[in-house]
Amino acid sequence: MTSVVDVLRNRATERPDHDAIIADQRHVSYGELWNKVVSAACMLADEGVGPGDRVLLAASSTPAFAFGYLATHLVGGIAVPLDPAAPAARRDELIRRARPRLSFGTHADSLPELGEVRGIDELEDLPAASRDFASVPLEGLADLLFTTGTTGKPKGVCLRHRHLVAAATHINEVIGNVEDDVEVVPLPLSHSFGLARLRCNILAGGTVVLTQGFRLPGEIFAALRQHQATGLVGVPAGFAVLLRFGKRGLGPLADRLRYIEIGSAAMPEAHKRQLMELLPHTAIWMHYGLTEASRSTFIEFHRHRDRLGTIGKPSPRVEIQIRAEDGTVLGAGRRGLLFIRGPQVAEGYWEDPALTAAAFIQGWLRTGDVAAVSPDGFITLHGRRDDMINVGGFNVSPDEVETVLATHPAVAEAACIGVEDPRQISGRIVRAYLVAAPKAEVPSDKELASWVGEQLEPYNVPTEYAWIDALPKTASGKLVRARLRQQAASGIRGPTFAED
Amino acid sequence: MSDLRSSLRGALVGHFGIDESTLADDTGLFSDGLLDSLSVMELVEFVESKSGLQIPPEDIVLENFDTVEGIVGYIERLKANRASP
Repeated sequence: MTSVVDVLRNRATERPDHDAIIADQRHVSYGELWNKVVSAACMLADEGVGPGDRVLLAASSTPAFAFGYLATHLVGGIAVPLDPAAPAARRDELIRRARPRLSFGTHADSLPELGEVRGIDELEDLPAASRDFASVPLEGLADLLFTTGTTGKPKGVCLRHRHLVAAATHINEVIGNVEDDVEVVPLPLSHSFGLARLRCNILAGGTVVLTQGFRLPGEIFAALRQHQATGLVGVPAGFAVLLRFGKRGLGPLADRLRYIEIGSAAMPEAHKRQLMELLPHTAIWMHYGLTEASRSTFIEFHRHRDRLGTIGKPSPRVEIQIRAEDGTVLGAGRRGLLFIRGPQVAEGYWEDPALTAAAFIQGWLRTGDVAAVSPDGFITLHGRRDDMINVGGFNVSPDEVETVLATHPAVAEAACIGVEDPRQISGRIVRAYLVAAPKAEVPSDKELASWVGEQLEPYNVPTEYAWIDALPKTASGKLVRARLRQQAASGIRGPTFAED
Repeated sequence: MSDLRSSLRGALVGHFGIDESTLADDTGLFSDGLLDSLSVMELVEFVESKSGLQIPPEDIVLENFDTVEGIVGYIERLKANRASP
């Protein structure tokens, strides 16, 4: 087993002219990718980046992002990817916590007290360099991925090189990636799904076509056709956009697309069936996983068309257990907490021993999801035990949104829950219940959306707002979010609760 | 084509909730974050209903759909192409 960047080193020798990355008509061969990574690694090393040092990558999906990411690994550093659209407050918080030696952004910037941010394009124009870099130890930390946590503070998931290789190996084993595959990746490389696709393709020797998201799908349809793509990956919300175009969208690709990988959020069953109809010969894989435990289960829609309501079966070498609250392992059909163990599963959170101890228990990850396993091994999710809301593949912590809403002068208290997206696009949306401050003029939904949007990423912004007299609370004053969820499930949008 | 421009502006303000004072004909609807991916379907449907044209999926790119000016220009070109033999 060798690290992904060491596999790249070999690929560059074995098949130097084969395309590794295509972006905006630019083709980066494996040979060029390796040379760019070496140049970037020389630059990082010269700037003092060494083993264990963090490098922040807050940039969009371009070849330069891949150069910076892989070069960080080559010098033994830890890559810290961050959504370039993250609000400044979020970026600054993560910089304070990760304390990167170097930071890259879409553009160069100077942050008071936090230092310089270099433009990622700097990595495009470095002089050619040759330097011998040693093989990267598999035990070393490779990535520090911040993901929204239940306590409202983002958790820094620490992944070692061996975790990344193990995940990429089993994903490729399931999907069957080969070096002639050309895969369109409209996911940000700053997101763990997109980044994993880059690693999987390097491991398989395939070609990644980077496009800038699903927001305007023409680029995706054009990339699929122009590059004769054999693979497409994305989140359910993205496929909802593509499905809107029906046969005229994905239909013409039916004979060429060999596989699709979907993940990061639940997908409406109607969309699964639509995809199957449009692409009868394409293997349509959907995974379930967490940043801490990449691609832990898979289901292929055609093969298991009668089990579409499940998340399939565990990936190769991955084990799952369903446990009761007291830790007892439950048998088939019993509903309980989902635990995962496998060679891809992380071992801890960045500088947070308490959170680490709560989630990583004797080699098993406690996922926070409630699930059951059928006698023939298919796993069904039955929601989350905690309050996290999955909006189009992004985890939203209601605590965090509530904290921001409560700072608005017109809001005395706020509580957020996830409700089904009526448009069937992002799976869940955030609904905020608000109690007005005394004598305050009730602001518009738009004003509140802007208020949240200025401080948190766009997916955190509630779609629905309901003003109520009081939030449901326990005798000790603790919010009972479950009551809001029950009311929402029964179709009541703006309930009035007496304190109980 | 000024009909499309004005009805488009009306929909962007009235239906999509964009503040009229910030909406110029060259404002980036998507690149400036005024609309998200969930809105693209509705925007395309609106433009199709107003123009009476079916828009090829591959044409739904930033160049054609990011601004009011871009959309109007794109529909003009599409109409001209469809009219020519």
